[in-house]
Amino acid sequence: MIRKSEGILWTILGLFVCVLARQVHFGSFREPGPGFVAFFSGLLIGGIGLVMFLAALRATPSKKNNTPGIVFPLPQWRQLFFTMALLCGYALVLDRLGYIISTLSMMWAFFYVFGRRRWISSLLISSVIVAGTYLVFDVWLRCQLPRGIFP
Amino acid sequence: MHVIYDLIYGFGVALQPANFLACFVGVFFGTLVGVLPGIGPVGAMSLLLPVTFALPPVNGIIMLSGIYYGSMYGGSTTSILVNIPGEAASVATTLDGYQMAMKGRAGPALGIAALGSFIAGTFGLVGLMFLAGPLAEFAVKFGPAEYFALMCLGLSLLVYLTQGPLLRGLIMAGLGIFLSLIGQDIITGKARFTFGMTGLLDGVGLVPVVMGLFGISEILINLERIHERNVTQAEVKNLLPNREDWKRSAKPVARGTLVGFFLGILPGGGAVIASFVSYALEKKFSRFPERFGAGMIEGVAGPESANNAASSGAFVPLFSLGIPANVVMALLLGALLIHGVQPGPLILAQHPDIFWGTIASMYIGNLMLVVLNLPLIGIWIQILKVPYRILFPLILLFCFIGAYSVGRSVFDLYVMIVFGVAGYFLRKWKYEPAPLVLAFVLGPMLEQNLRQALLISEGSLAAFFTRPLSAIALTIAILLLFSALIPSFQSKRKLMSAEE
Repeated sequence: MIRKSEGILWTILGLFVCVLARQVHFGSFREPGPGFVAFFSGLLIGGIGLVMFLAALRATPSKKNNTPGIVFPLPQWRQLFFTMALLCGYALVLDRLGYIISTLSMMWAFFYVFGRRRWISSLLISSVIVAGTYLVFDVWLRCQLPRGIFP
Repeated sequence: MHVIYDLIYGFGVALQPANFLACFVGVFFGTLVGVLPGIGPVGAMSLLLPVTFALPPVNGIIMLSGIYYGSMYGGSTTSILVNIPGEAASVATTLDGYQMAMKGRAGPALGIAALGSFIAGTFGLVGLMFLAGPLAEFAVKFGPAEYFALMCLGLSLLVYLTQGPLLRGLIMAGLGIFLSLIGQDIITGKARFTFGMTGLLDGVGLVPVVMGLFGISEILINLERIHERNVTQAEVKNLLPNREDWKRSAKPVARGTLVGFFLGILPGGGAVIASFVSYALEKKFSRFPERFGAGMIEGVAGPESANNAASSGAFVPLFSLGIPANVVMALLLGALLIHGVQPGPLILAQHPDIFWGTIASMYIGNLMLVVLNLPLIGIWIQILKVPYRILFPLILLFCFIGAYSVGRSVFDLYVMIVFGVAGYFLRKWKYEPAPLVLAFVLGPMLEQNLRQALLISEGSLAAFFTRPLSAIALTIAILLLFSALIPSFQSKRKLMSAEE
């Protein structure tokens, strides 16, 4: 079932894209500019958003459709927030601390929290993974992972 | 006759030690990711994409292709043994494959899946070989209007066949086109939609987008329901199907090959649809349709053959027209472009080593898969027993390494995280990411061809409807989208996407 909020969201986004496209020069059909295609993509998004909104408005709510769209139980939110915070933190420190330290910390945190909460075994598994991936990606495949504090 | 000479030349390329090794790594890695639920061929190819940068183009493309058809093979193992498809194209196999395993016939089910895939993959390649060349020669005559129309058709087909309301698919396609335009304008070089961020000057990277939408979001969804998989405890023996099994499977394999190959060629089609169409066909042709779902070997042989033939067929539009038929091919297109190779009608003349080398490597790869898969089934079962709580941090790490290695930029990691979160919510709200990714890859080409066509025609839109091919493709695309408004088509579409 399509929600009214979805329609509003896409309509606003589509309008925003159209405005941005006009700013970078739309051009004309004879000589299309850099914003030409973007303008029409915005028009598509906004137009469909509007259709969605109108369709949701016209739809008669039934008992079946009155259930909320997404329900997140508390533990689920916690897991998601923890994972996302860890990923963002990892991206933040990767360049500064380097691959080895930041990956070891992230892996340990994952294994400790989602595993059986034994810090020694979590550290051991993390160390093996960091050593293995470093060997494969940096040494063999020369992906040049960030060195951070190491010279 | 010169096709044979070209194929011999291709084998010369594919059998070079470096290419042979690339093929082996590709099919092995592909089978592994096919076996592991949670990381599909798209994620695996994104992961290995940066690795291929250091390799010659032919080497890299052979490896990436190997991952694709290898994952089609590997996906059947989890479907049969755990009732969890390793990737979407193996969903149909779970219906009868798992039931066979429950009845102690996991061996023949795995055997017919591997052998059927081998036969279909090989015949699919014959089709690719004979079709891609002539089509490429024909496509030389195409202008920007034809290319624009064909890309629109491909996108419309994908949107049409995507799960959920058509409007959501269209929104995803529009969003994908807009995102692909971020960065410098291809004609004027002017920066657009970068909001002052230098990281966006080169545009949004394909790998972080794909990794986020398919890798990170998939893990976030799976985190909600971490559970240990129930791998069949019965010993897997007698992998080679017996005479009766072969008798029952011969026609499904043949039909699956044909259906799969032609559905694979279709832009927007692909292995998922092919496997379901094949399953439906087998049920229709069977004298005992009521027994389907209870462990019929035909229900394994047909879909598995179809998804492998489709993976060969999908190479036809990519190699001959430069238009990807599905997301995996879109990624392969991205890889070719990064390597400086423009797929399309001229690839045969400019890069025969890539074209024929890849085709020949696929013959070798298909053989490798049979040799690999049957004896290594024990190892795949052991891998399946690794708990998800151990697997998912590893998959996350691989996503990070993959996204970082492309441009050695932390900015790409942020992009990946943003798309991961966005992908998670989009999936929750029943928005499929596939049209977004295909539109994202096609976006720059779509823009270039549209602008060129309009410049040539001096702004006249009639140019798109006066050239026959362009007119036909655009008319089909428009009809397809409008057909979704007709009730009888609506129910048909719902049925197809529900199967998907």
